[in-house]
Amino acid sequence: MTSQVIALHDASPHTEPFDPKRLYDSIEAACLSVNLAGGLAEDTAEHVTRAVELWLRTRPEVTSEDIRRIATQSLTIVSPEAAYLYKHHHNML
Amino acid sequence: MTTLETFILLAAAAIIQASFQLSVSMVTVMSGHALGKKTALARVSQLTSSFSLGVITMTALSLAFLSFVLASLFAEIPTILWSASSGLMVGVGLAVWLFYYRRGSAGTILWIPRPMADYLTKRARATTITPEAFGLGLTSVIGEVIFTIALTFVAALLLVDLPLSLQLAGLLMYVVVATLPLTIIATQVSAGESIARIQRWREQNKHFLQFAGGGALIVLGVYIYVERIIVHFMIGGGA
Repeated sequence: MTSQVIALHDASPHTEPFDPKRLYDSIEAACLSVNLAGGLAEDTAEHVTRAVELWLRTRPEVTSEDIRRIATQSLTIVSPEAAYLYKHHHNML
Repeated sequence: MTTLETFILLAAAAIIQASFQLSVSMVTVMSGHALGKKTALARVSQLTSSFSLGVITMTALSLAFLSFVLASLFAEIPTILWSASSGLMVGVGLAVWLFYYRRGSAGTILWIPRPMADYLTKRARATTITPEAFGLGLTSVIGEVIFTIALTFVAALLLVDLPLSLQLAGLLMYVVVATLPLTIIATQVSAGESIARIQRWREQNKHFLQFAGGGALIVLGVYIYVERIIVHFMIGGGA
């Protein structure tokens, strides 16, 4: 079962299927932005994506904020700085 | 007003302008995104340098343009312009206190309308070549003109008041001081400093910068009013 995500950050909130690739890319970008090595960034992105997918198994519908919260929790364990950037990258301007 | 006093006031105005954050926010977004896309640090360094150069250029151009217009129009600056500039600074100072950062929001979300912020964020993220970064730097100064116009105006008045031989030095000092935080952050990014650490510092100190910037604007506005209007009339030199 693919969870449905209610995207809250877009101009018009809508529902879309969970895209693990998109989450992976976001996490990897956050890791690279805080100068983590490429390999570590990939491993971290994979670990966080798996953790979010596991969390989604029992949840058919969640919001994008939920995904961000759970991903941040998981990412904080590996890199608090990357987690901070991932959590706040919408709030910089 | 002595030359030294004029330079001190110019420096004060430049320090207040240095506390404004739009350019710093944009360079943080741009470099963070470029690093996230696996762009080499040397390339990111080129982008941030071009961005900073754009900000420096537009700051210098706007101040030089305003000074040129004032110098062309008036042989001696009329009292009414000093009065207008001090009123403008007090008004902008209050606006900084009230509106500069979006209330109740996390991070460092600025006053600018959300569609414009989204557009600037998109442009900052899409920037991959140095001329584009330069243009973005120019734009960021224009984007914050509502808050910087009072300072640029008073700096232009002060510049025109300086002897001709010192005006260029005054302009350079203003531009260097006003863009110093941006230059420091661009240098830190180029040296490999974590964007998260920079952003965290900005977030932790945003209220202090907002209070200090707004307060300093009001103090400078009142000082100029007293020095240029009240004292001027008391010694019998009213326009």
